[in-house]
Amino acid sequence: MTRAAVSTADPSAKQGLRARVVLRRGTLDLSVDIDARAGEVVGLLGPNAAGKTTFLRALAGLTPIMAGHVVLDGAVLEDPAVGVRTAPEERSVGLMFQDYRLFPHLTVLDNVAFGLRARGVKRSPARQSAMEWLAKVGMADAAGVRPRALSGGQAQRVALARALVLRPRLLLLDEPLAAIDGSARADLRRDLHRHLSWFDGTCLLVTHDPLEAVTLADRLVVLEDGHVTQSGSAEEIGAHPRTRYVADLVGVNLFRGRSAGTTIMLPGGETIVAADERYHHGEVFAAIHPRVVSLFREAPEGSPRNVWPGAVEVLDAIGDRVRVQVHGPMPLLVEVTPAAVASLALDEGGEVWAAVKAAEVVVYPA
Amino acid sequence: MPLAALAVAFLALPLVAVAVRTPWGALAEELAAPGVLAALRLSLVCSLGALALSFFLGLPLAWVLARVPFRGRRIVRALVILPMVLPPVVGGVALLLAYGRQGIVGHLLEQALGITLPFTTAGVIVAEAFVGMPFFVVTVEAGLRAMDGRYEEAAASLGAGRWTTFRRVTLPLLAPSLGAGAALCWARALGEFGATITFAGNLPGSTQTMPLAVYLALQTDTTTAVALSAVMLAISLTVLVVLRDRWFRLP
Amino acid sequence: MLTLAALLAATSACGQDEGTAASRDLRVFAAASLTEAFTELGDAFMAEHPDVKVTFVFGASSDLARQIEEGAQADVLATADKETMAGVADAVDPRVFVRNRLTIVVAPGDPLAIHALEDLAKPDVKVVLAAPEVPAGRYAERILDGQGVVVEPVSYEATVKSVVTKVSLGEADAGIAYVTDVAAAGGEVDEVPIPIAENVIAAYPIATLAGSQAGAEAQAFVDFVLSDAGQKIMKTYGFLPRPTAR
Repeated sequence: MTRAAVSTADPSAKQGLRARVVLRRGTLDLSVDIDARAGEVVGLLGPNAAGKTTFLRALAGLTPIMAGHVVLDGAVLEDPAVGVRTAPEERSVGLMFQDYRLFPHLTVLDNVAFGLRARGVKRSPARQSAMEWLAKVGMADAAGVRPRALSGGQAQRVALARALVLRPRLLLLDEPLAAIDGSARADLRRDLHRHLSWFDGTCLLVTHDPLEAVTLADRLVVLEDGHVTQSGSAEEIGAHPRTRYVADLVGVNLFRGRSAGTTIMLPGGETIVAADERYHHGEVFAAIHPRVVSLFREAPEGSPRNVWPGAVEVLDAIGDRVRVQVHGPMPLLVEVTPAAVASLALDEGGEVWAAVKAAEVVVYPA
Repeated sequence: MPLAALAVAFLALPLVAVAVRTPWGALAEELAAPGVLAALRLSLVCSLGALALSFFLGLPLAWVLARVPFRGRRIVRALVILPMVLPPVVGGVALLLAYGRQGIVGHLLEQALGITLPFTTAGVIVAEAFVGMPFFVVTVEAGLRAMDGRYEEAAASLGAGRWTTFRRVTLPLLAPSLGAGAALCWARALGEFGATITFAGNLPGSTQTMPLAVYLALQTDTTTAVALSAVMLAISLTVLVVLRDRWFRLP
Repeated sequence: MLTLAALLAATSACGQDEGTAASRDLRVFAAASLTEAFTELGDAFMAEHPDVKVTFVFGASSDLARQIEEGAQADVLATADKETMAGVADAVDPRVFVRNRLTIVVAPGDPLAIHALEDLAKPDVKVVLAAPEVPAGRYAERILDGQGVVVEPVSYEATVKSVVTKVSLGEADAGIAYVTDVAAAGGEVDEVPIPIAENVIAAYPIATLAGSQAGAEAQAFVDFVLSDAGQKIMKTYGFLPRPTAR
């Protein structure tokens, strides 16, 4: 089934994707390097308009790249420098659009069989394969209906089957669950995980939902404003966020400053004292988890090295914790127990002191 | 509301008047007159011919206008729409100057291929396509724009080449627009008078279509003219009813 | 609804009798073949009657007659044949004011060497005639029938003017029109005369109309057409004078 640019294939090259995509589209300046092995699921995380969809479109060949290269399983699909550009239909790339784009005039079965038919498979074997895939995604019963009659979740399953039936070497999923709401989402996420674990090609999955990224992807790449700002495992990224976007995403307070010994000077003149001395000079990040911040009504005496005044801005119940936004010279997200809220008599606008032990501040180089 | 009712009356009354004045008793006799059937047949043949020509040339044009960005696209579109707003008689004069025996293209046609268009049935088809095709192009172009390439992209990502995509995705999705465009084009061609009489002339059996027959009958015999008008009205109504559910479905 | 009615009233009134004191409007419906002659004649009439404004509507006589029957506002009607005039009930005392002859119209220089009516029957000659529904068409039919010449025209034109136009544009090789049409076309077409014996004389009647709002002016116009001054203008356009007998 791999028809893509056989002539330029290099058999010794490793299986997987090597991509460097440089292009400009409107106000977006995209420049992204991503390598991914076959069998790996890479989660592409980023805010809206960061260029995630454009990147997928470039890999699929729907948007030409200005510079760089797209190499899949050793075959060069696109490289403007040497004038190589494989048409989208010639690439062994499956793209599942965010809005699924099931053909409204075809039945579910013919939607799934479409790609096989387009690649020259006869009608009856194509339908047979399509039927098998519909069964795998649990949509065999809907084979005869038109997409209009499907729910969002059902459409997603059909779209997945339509992409997978072609056994692509690269599977691109653009926000696969964004159009699904509520309870169906958990089921679909679980099923998607199951299908991806079988899938032996390379998979890139765009999302802006951290839960989706963590549960479905082996590795995360964060894309902001057309550039990769961070990549690694979910744990690494969660522990050491490097941008405001990631910090907000994982719910961590992030500060950037200049380290001098154990003191970190922030641009606003505030200081943070850390116990860790490994990074005693240069630009550093200081991450403070909301749970390690203590709140007091009066300025606390004694051990905490970091004490900042502020005002309570928002109170939010998150499970068995209460999330408090403390506004002041050092804006902090704080998580406390409901009991603490009661005993401190916290209310919006109230004055508080926030304290963090030096040992709880995580420092890493910027 | 009263204005809407007035508008309905304004549009419907003339049609009612035709029905009222139609010599129902003598209708069969009027229609059996030799020229009438010929005119009716010619009208159908020529309007369908114009539709076929519009389809064959208009579909690629609509495609280019909707999908291929090029300099001067707005000018081309304006040129295409022009016959819609041009008085048909002016269109007929323009056709004579272009495709007539002395026309800038017409004299070449005659020299090279021995083809002359004025006073021929082919000329009627040319005149009708000239005024009808813009309706087809404009409607289909709008349909293509509404599709904005989303499904074609999906087809390409599934391995379908351009032709397969066009045949299996674009055309079926475009069917409602094609139908509406074809209906408008055909109706305009069927009713065409000015460009036809100017360019193709008026000869029973070869260039005298129903509207021309109605017009000339009106000079001497109002009864015949009304009878012919009633036939045209019936044809238009039939088309409207047949196409109603398929192509004029409102959202 | 009222505004619409007012609008319709205003637009239909305009052009009829605006400013009764300063000028009276006179609407003359005339055969297409009279276009050039009547345009000059109208100017001369208005020079003599500064208080009258003449508006012409030119078209196929049969078409004009039908319009009047359907209620078109007209004060004077001049047709190209008596039959058409006879069909207009409102015509008051029609009188023949000029006569016309028919002729063969050909391209300048007569490239196909058409010399007589018989030549119109040649298969490679494209002939246009006026439709039998209009006077010029009936005259042409009568002439050809009289000589036993069978012509298969490529088109029956709706007015005699478009017969001349089709020949002058080169779309047709020959046609039959009035002598006056050839004169009016300048050098764009040539004429092959039809001998008197084979020809027919077209008699043009003129009449005031019973429904006219401007009876006196209408009568004055008719009188002017019949006067020596009027006849002189008509003659310069190739029309034959009205029969003086009786």
